[in-house]
Amino acid sequence: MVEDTGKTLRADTYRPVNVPESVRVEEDASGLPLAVRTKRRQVVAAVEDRWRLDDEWWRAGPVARLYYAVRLASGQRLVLYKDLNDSGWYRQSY
Amino acid sequence: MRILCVLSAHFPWRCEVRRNPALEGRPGVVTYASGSRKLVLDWSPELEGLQHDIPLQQALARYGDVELLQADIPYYRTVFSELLDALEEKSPLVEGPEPGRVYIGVDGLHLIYPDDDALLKAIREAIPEIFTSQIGIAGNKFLAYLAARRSPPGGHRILSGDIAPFLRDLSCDVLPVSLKSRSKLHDFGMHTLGQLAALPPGPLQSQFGPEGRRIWELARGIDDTPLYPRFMERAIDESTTLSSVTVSLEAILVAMELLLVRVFANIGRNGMGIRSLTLWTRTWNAESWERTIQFKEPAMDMRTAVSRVKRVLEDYPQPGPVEQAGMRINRLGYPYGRQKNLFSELRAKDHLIEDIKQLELRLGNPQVYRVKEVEPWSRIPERRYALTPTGR
Repeated sequence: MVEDTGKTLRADTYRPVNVPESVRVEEDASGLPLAVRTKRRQVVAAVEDRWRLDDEWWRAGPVARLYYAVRLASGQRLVLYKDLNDSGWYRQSY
Repeated sequence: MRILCVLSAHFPWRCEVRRNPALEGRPGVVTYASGSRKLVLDWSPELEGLQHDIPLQQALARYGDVELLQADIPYYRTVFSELLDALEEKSPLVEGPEPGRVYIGVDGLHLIYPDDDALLKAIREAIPEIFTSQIGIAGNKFLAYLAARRSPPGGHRILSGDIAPFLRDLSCDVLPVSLKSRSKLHDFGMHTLGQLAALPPGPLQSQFGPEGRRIWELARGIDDTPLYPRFMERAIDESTTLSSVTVSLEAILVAMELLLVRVFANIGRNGMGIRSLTLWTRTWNAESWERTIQFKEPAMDMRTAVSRVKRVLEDYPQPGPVEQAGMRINRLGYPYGRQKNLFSELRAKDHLIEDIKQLELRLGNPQVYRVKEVEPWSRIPERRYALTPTGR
């Protein structure tokens, strides 16, 4: 990690890191992820953890997300979330 | 997923009987030392009412005339490992979370064993007869474990279809959750899985947090815990018998150093180091001592390994005069790559900044960024860090 230089961040030049990436997810009746479509369709073998994030409720666009740590049938692990504002699914490292 | 669970009750005691068949049918207690206290690890099946980890005095107060044996944990591990090896010949997915309990993934085995009877026969063939085992088959680990627990000794139970009637009257004590949570459930008057399953998940979550959800799911027979098959590693075991029984730390350390020389010779020059090793000793009166060392970075040479071994030997005293010493390498690993800091030298940094500015003049827009903490405490992942142009 680079030491803080004390300089003020300029909003026009900084780029966020770990921006959520939109993914197509098939859900079951209860809203749990069944399969994820990235390059190909991959079945969710297990939901290993889940948690809810509610933040910035005082702003115009509050954050409300349901996160799922899933294991795919291939053994790969992913963190997905469902945005409760737009009902879209995203992939993001947590 | 279909899971088969094998439970072998009184595994340490059975190991002792296997080593010394004269113990068969005699009442006995296997003990281990915790500090200066002697506790009960296991006992022969006929001694009813004993519990794990109770003081030995308490056991002796109940059963005075019993055979007392010192626990030989390394031996039990070796026997259990042999058992897992044998079961791996039947299925590649074998998990042994603790001696005496095995989970086996049996999906697809119907291509080899046409029905459950053939499968059970094959599994029983792999288990030595002395380890009387109960077998359960079900759709997940928790149900398979319960099915095994509820099967007769030497028998089996297969759960399929509606499992609610099977779970309904089982005690909450079968739940694999913390002792505190189990006791709290009883305080709330929740004694059976049926009572828990009848509740909505909300109240349990509000009382027990994330564990509440798990309790509710388990009570309904839902368990998505994956099977963790054994991680196959090239095992290196080295041991030596000391020339004379000793309590001297220096003498034990010399023996350990000799073993490390053998281990490093065994690893060879393939660029790997030790990630995890277990030291063990056995005293003249058959007490055993065992400590596992995890290396944050693989120990690539004798000096690093010896300094940790020495510290462990100093911090954890031997239970008595040592007769035999050994070590087992649990995991090997490659050393981590180290990235040099681009900004360590001031002059180099100035040059770099100048080069970056030139690049920006030629190509426009910032070209090189550095990671900067913005709100590292934020719960929203994308708020934590940002890329900022270098040199501004």
